[in-house]
Amino acid sequence: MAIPKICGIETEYGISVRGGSDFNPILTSSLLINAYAKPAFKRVRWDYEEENPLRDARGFEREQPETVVEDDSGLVNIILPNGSRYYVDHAHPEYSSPECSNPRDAVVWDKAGERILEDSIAAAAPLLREGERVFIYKNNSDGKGNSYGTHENYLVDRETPFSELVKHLTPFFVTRQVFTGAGKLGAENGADEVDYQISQRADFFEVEVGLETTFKRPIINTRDEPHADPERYRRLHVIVGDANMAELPTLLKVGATSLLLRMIEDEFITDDFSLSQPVRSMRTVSHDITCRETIELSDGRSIGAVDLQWEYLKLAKKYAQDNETDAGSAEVLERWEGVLEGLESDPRSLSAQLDWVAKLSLLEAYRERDGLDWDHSKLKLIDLQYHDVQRAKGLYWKLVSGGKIERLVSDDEIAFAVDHPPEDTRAYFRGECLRRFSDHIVAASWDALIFDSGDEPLRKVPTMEPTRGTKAHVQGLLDASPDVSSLLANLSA
Amino acid sequence: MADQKRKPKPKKDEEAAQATETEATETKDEELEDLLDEIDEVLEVNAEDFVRGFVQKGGELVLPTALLVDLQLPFIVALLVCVAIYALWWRQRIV
Repeated sequence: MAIPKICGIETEYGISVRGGSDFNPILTSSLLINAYAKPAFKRVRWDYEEENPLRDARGFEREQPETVVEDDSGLVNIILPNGSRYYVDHAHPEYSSPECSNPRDAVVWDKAGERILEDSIAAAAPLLREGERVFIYKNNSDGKGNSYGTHENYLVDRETPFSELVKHLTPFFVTRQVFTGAGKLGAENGADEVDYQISQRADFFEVEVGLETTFKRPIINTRDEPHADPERYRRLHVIVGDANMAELPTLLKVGATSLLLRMIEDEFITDDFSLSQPVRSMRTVSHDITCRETIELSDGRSIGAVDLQWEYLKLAKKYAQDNETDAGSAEVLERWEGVLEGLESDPRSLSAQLDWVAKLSLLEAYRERDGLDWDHSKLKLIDLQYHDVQRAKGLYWKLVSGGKIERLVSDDEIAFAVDHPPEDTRAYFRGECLRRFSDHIVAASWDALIFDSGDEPLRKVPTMEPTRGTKAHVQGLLDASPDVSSLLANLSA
Repeated sequence: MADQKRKPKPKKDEEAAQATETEATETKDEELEDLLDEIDEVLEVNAEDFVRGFVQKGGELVLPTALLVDLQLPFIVALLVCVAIYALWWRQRIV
C-alpha cells in the first residue's frame, strides 16, 4: 500500500587540491568537515549499531565484504543541526540530507549541502598550506575512470515485493536520464566513444540488480538498511542518478520517482515495460543527445526514452487524480510534462532547465568561439568547473547570474535549510535536540539518539519512525524541556 | 537568376520586422559573448594541467585504517611468531 515518500539525497562530492603536494583526499575531506563543524557538534559520535550495508533485499546477507564497507574506522562523521549527516565516505566529503516529506524540500536540503561544502572551503582556507586551494565538485566523474555517486533514498512499504520494484523501476531509471542527466564529455568504462553524453553515470553501470555501489554497479541496488522499523519499511537506495546543479532536474528526479513508487506500492501499473537489455539501453539513452533513438522492450517492441517517459507520466497523472500523493505533486506532473514536450520537439529548447543541455550549450558556444575540438582540455575544464560549488567560480552559477538557468527555490529557503531541519519528519527531532542539547548527546544516527543526562545511565531514544518526531509532534515536548533530564522524563511520560 | 515574384507587402513593415529580428539576434549574440567573457574570467588557467590534476581516488586505495582492519589478524599472528622466535633464541642464549 502506498505510504508517504519520505526521501533524501546523499551526495559524494569530488575533491581536489591545487598547489600542494601529497594530496590525501581523506585528510583534506576531514579537514573540511572539522573546520566547518562547531566543536559542540563534533563531540557527537555517529552510532553505527544499526548499520548493515551488507544485508541484501533479496533475502540474504553477504559474509565477506568484497570492498571496504562503511564502518567505524574513526573517520570524521557528524550530524548537523539541520538533521543531515556530514562525513568522510571513502575519499570524499559526503552530505546526506535530512529526511524530507516531499520533492521540493528534497531540492532545498540538497542545495543546502552545497552551501555547507562552500562554507567548509572558506572555513578550511586558513588551515591550508601556503598556496594550496581546495576544490569541491558536485558531480559524478573525474574523466579518468573514477565515478562517485549521488544516491536517492525513498521510504517504501515493506509489503511491496522487491521484484515488483525491479520490474517497474528499471525501465524508468534507464529512461529518466533524459531529464536527470548532468552531461559529460566522452565515454568511460569501455563504453563506445562519444563526444558528449547525457549522463555522468550511465557508462559505469554494469549489471541489472546487485548489492555493490563502487564496482559492478547495478541499476537497482539491493541494499537493505531501512534505518527504520524493518517490519514495516524499506529504504530504497537509488544509485543511478546524476548530481544535479539545476533545481528542476532534482525536483523531477525525486518527484517522478516518488510517484512511480506510490503506483508500484498500490499495484497500479499493469503494463510491463521491461527492457530486453537494460544495461546496454542505459548507455544507448545516455549517448543519444537527440533523444530520438529507440530501445528494445522484452516483448520485442521498440520505444524511445521520451516516449517511455510519456507512458509513466500518463500513468502518474491518472493515479494522482484518484489517489493521495505527496505535497507538490501537481507541480511535479506539470513540469514533467513540460520537459517531455520540450525533449520531444527539441531538447536544446531546455537549456534553461536541464543540466546536460545547459552544459552542452556552453560547450558548443566555446567550441564555436575558440574553434575547439571535442577532446580539447578547455572543454574538459568547463565540464568540471560547471560543478564547482563555489558560487564565485562555478559555471552553473555564472549561468544563473546571467539569467540562463531557471531556479525554483530561493536563496533564503536554502539558507534556512543549512541550519534548520525539515519540520515534518523525524529530522526535526534530531536537528532540534542537537541544537539544544549537543553537550549531552553522546551519539546519534538516523534512527536513534543517545543522551547522557549526567545523573543516569546513557539513554538511547529510538527514532524508528521517519514520519514521527516532527515539529507538530515534539515542539511542545521540547519547549517543556529546558534540559536533557526533563526531556528524558517527558519522553517517558 | 530566376525571376522571383514577391507578394505585394508594405515594404516598411517587412524592413522593420527584419530589423527587429536582426537586433534580437545581435543582442542574443552580444549576451552570449558577454557571458563567455565573464566565464573566461573565472575559468582556471592552464586547463590541461588543472584537469589532469583532478583524480578522484576511491577509499579502497587510499584508506590506511581499513587496510589495518584487513591485516589485523595476520599481523597479530606474525607478531606472535616473531615473539616466539625471539623467545626461543633468547632461551638458547641463556642456556
